[in-house]
Amino acid sequence: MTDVLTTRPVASPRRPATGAVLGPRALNRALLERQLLLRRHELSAAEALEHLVGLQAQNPNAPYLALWTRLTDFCTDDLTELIAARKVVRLALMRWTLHVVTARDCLALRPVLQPVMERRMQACFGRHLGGVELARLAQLGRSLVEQEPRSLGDVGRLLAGEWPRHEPRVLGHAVSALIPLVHVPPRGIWGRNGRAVQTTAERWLGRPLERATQPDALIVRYLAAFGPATVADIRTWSGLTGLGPAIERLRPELRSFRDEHGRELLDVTDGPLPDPETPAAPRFLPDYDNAVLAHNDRTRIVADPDRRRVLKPKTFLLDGFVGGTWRLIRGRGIVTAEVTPFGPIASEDRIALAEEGMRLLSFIVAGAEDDVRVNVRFLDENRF
Amino acid sequence: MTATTVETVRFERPDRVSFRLVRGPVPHVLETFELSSDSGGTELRYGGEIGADLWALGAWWAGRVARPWERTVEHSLDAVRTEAERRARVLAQGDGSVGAQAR
Repeated sequence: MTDVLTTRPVASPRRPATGAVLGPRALNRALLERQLLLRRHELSAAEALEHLVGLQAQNPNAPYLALWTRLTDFCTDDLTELIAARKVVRLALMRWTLHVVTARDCLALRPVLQPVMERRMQACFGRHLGGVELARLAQLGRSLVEQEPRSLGDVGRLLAGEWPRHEPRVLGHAVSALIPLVHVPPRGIWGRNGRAVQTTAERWLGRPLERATQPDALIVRYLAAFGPATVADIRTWSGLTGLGPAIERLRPELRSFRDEHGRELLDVTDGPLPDPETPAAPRFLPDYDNAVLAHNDRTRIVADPDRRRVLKPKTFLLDGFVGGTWRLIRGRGIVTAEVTPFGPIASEDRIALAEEGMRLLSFIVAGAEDDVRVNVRFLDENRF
Repeated sequence: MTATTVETVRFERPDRVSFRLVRGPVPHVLETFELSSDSGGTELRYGGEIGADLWALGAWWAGRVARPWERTVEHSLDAVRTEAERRARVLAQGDGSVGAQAR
């Protein structure tokens, strides 16, 4: 295993080796630093969201936890106010999954990622949409959600009048892929989980989507936040295919490395590459955090034998790598973070993890009016 | 006000679960749950330890805490026994397999 930055060239059958070799630990520390996980940063929530190219938001509270774990002095109001002021929105983007992004990114990224939505929608629902003219579906769907914010279920039921032989659920989901729908608050706001009603990004933000659909800028931002990375990693994170022409256009502006298997890793020229031995404190990650999901080869953050064990969405990092999963259990007067390590944990790591867990829980219960106990529970040996 | 506790729960296969409070208001709390077969049934044996500081004052406090704690545990174990016996009866009515229950 190569864990240090070297200049040893590695042969590749397709392209001459040009860059240094980066081992998993070097890639891990680069990822942590760029994901704001190696140390907490003094950025605003909006700055962090733009640097990270959005945060996964399947679970509405996840972006709040993701920002708390990355920023100094983050409080829930920081993000809530941005959402309420329409400066941050929640919509489907990379991989046709829900993210929170700034309004600016919403308008810029959605057109670039539109082919991802449509391809994945066709893969999921295409065979149930026979006879439906998608342009008309998009037009009618847009009209409905611009009249008033609606749930996808309601949209589907209303569209069933036009296509009575089709499942309303399928029609609703198809609309969500065809047009840019944002979730209207209070959905997505910490502690106030309202009904999931949506309207178009243009209506909510009062501005049109941008016209540019080339992925070049998105690729550069991905590399800055997740790199160095292979083309397959970029594809995994974004869901975009056919990246070759964009990569070739960008190549003069990029530097390249190799991983220990000889694969080319592309990178922005100013991306930080910390010393692989830089200490990394424990971090709790929320559901489906992109730090764990954003690569085709995830060995830089989760060891291969553990990858299949990351079945539960919430993970924690020990020495920078996924060390296990956790879940939040709320009871009367008590909130517990139940931690399931993948293996034995050294006592000093256990103490550090418990302390980080207590800080996390104190953030979660901040503002509670009644007395509350915060409890970190270790389920040892992963035998449950 | 926020109180903080840290606890570990360990499953030692096949028959023992132990709970230990490693940080909290009480210096020492250890509970064990052990299962053993008992003439066609299952015996669940519970053990609990509580330790306090402050010598006689701590001993007096632990004694006061222990009684309601025992009552709480007894109540919980009664509920566990009731549920376990209910499930056993349901299983006995079918062909004894979990799959039969699922049907």
